[in-house]
Amino acid sequence: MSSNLEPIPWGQVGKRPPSEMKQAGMVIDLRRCIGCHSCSISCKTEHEVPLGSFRTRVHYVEKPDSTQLAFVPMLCMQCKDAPCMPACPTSALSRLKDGRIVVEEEACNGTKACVAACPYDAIAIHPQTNKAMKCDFCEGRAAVGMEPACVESCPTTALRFGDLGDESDPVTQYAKHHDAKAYKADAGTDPSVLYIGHDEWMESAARGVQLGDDEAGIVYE
Amino acid sequence: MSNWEHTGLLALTSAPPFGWWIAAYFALAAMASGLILRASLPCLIGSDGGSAVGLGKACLWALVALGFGGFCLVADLASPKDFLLTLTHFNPNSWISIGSRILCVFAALCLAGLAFSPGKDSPSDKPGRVLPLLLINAALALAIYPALVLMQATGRPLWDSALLPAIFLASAFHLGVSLGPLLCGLSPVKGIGRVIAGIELALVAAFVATKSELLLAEGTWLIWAAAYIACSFVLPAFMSGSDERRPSASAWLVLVGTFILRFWLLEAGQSSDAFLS
Repeated sequence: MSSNLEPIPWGQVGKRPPSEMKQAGMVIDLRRCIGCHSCSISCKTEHEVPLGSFRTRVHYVEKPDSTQLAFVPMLCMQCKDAPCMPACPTSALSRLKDGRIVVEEEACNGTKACVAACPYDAIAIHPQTNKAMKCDFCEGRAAVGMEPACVESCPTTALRFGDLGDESDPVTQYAKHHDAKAYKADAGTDPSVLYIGHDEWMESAARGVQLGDDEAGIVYE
Repeated sequence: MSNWEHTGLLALTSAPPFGWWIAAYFALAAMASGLILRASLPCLIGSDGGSAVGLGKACLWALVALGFGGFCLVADLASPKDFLLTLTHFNPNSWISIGSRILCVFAALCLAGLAFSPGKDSPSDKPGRVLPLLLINAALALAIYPALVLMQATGRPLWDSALLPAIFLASAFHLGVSLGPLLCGLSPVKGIGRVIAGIELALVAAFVATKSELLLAEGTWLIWAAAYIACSFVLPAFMSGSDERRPSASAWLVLVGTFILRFWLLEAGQSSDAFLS
């Protein structure tokens, strides 16, 4: 893993409207993440995500020998070979030209097939509308050329948004330079969210606490 | 497990998407398909065990099971309108979508079986072979497609097994053979029943062997497995004695075992440890 921590000037990244992108993507530098939950909270604020539900989470992963703790922001990976799309019985998930996958709420009937299909646990069911909800890199903000809320709110610039289909894009170059990798690469979904500083123990040690319906009150919001 | 996880503070996953309503639906679909398989196969091969009256009763009970199954699906979605969306929208890649069509075809064939079913005193008690053949195909599809729905959820590695469709089919047929005499007045076929039960048990054992690592991560699997084996195999074998009430009790126990098997597979596949490992 490279130890080069040189930041790239923020004026150069994420300023192109996603409609012009070949493959909208995100690079998350785990070495910079401090686990502050700014991303997940700004996401909840932006999209009015109800209590107990998430579009973006921050997993705390402890090294098995307890010498290290990593913070892993998890969101929809906008997989190029997305298992959620064929699983949906009503074709409510569709892909935009720039590679982002969005939920068409009118077509969604809440069968939760997409939730079961996603290897990243990145799709949830809205408790009030019973529709699927997931990160779409803030489609509404993208329409006016803004970056996703999580990227904008990250205090350590650990999250970077850019065109991973464009070799000249600073984010793509940054990902290549720092050997960014996909989380759960063996799932074979070809994600568009890549991680820098991702080590094997962060993946193998990741264990979620599964909340039942009666435990929704113990979340950290 | 570290203290971090006990706090429920930081590493959260969603609640399991498929709950016991879905397990109940899977069991009822198995009941419908199993009864039709049990009643139709003798008609197709022309054995003495086939009768149009028995087939008609099987169609009736299959429709009853599907009716309760449909209720389970609506209850899971919490909205009849959302349930109808599955029928009005079609995704040819989705096994849920394909399964909804299988359900419709199966129900239509059962209605046809019911309509053409002769009365008790009818001189002809042979249903022909076309309808049984169609019913068998629909029943096979109905028995297998829930397993294909699970296999399509590639995010759950426990369900990524080619044994699942075979398990679901064997389990459905086992249930049909057990319930057939009780509900449809079909003659008991104990020998065949034992063979099918043996096949089912062998398939489940092979599944557990191939997925032992994932199943061991899910702590309660042994309790469910024990309950399933007790209800589907041990207790029915023990109860198939001379007491007249016991055969019917053992048939219902197999239905309970069918439900437990599906609930166990659903729960184990969705547990956070098995999911995230």
